[in-house]
Amino acid sequence: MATFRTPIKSGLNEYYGKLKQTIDGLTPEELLWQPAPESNHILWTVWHMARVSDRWANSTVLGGDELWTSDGWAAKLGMPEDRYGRGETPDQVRDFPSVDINLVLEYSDAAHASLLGMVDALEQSDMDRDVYAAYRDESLNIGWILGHILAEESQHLGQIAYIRGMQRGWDG
Amino acid sequence: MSSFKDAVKSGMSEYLGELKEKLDGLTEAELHWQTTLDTNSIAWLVWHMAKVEDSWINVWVAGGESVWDSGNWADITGITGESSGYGQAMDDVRAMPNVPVSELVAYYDAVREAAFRVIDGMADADMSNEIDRGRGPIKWSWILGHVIVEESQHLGQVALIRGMIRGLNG
Repeated sequence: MATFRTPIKSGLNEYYGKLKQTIDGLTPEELLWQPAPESNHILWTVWHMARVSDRWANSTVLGGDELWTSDGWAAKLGMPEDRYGRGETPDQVRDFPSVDINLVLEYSDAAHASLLGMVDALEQSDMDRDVYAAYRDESLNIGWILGHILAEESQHLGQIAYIRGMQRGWDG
Repeated sequence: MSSFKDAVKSGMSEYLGELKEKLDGLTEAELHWQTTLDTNSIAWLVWHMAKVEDSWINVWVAGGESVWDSGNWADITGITGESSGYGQAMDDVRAMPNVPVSELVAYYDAVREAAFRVIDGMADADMSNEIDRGRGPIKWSWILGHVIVEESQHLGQVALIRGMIRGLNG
């Protein structure tokens, strides 16, 4: 039977599908372009979105290991195992390694599948449950986390679309 | 929270709350600044966000009148036309009147109050309900997910533009 789980999954799939469309055809230079010295570039943002999905699903909510380490994505991308993106400095963003976007998207696909699996594994009664997010040192409500994932990831997608528009024009 | 419905409402509360934080202290010039000739200003984005939510929830799902119409917000803001901004030309974006952002936020708050009344009245089974805007059936469940995704995208753009003007922590 339909429940309000359906709009949550629909939203997750919507932003993820749009992400793929929005980065289609961008060159390595466009992926690394920063509109201002303290703004993120598209490659960083795509990578960070995947890290966000992986951490919320596999670590914070499901209580296991992140694919970033357990499936060796940090090593494949040549990045530190503790790198996540939250609170990074403009220097860190600027010095982000010029990794292959297709490899980042492979990781991203796996992280997105984890998110969908997480939502399927949750029941209405879980919405009332708190989990401890070690990296934030706080307990968070699972219902809040579901809404937050949609809001946070979609914000980043909107930023990618805007940065693309700045480079290509509004129809580009 | 006790249900997936609460999670949906929480996501909606989050992006509207963050929008208000991102608008805090911006000058009129900052609100109307366009990063390039082809990009939207923050003020335009706030108006568009409120109109989008009003249209999807209060008009299309609830089958009622928009808060824009019932609250005479066209008269209050001086923004004319039937559009919600979708596909507007850049001339329209530039031609937006200098409405105080507090008025746009007041309109958005009124939209949200009405939208939450609509959502509070929904049952799980309603997620299978459909509307038709002339291009095939659209499920209510898709609309709720879409509203969070679309509005949050625009919030992310507001945050990006603010960051371009003010720097990382500005």
